[in-house]
Amino acid sequence: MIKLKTLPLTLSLLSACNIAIADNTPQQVGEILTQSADLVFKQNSKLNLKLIPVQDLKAGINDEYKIVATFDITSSPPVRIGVRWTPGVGEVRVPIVKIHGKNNPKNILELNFAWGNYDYDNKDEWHITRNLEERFGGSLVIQGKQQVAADTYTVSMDASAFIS
Amino acid sequence: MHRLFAQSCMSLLLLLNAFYNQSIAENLAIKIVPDTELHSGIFPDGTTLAVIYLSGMNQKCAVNVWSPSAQNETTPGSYTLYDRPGGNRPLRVRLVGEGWQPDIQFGTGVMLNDPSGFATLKLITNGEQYIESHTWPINISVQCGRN
Repeated sequence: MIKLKTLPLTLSLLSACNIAIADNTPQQVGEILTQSADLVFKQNSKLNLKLIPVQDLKAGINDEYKIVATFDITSSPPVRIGVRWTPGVGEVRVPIVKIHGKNNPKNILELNFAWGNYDYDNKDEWHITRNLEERFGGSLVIQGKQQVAADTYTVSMDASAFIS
Repeated sequence: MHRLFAQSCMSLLLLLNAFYNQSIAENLAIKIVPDTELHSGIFPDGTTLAVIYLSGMNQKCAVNVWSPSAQNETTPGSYTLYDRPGGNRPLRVRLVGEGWQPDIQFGTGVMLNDPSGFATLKLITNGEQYIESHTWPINISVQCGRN
């Protein structure tokens, strides 16, 4: 009696296994793992900076606010535009830069920024427009009436887009 | 004696079956690596948006990968993402990879038979489209099935 009960059970299990193995239908048996991430599409910001020196600059006494160069920055889309003197090029004491002559480092030229009706904030060495601007322009001017020796003075400034 | 033999077989069969299930699923891992330099603009069809790395499958596994938040999945694995539930910024994407096929069996996502333990697939743009500056959350699920 015992034999008759147990053997068919074993065979039926084996048959079930055979059916499961022979079946080609995929069965979901494992746990479901889910992971999340963000696709972040940034705003395209295109910034252009033009720095144009004034021609025919004269050595000698130069009056305060005399324009020695102009800058023009354009941005697409509009952003808050910041400018600063490039660190390491001249001695920066915000908002003034002291530049040494290329031929004789003892020759000094002191410059400042000048711009029109833009509202701006200062953050560290940056001057940043208060509003979103497509265009930001201004001038580099003589800081205080000064005697400028004949030499070549290298001026460098940075522009950057600021968010909020 | 026969009774003992029969019970041993039963135990063995059940044990093997349990081990089989576990070995298919264990160590399964998924990692999504979105492209971090995506900028708004017109994207051509097939632009890679993210790479999905899978590991821990054995060769008896049929892997199914799908997005639980997929909408408009007319073809398994090709669907629309929105910036948020009920959002109005559609992003049409599809899951692709070497050896991966639309999972017609389950009607969602893509599947890969007989993986070698490690597999990758990509989330790419489905058709040329303009994508504005925004963030789209993506959810990707994976499950191992018996092949």
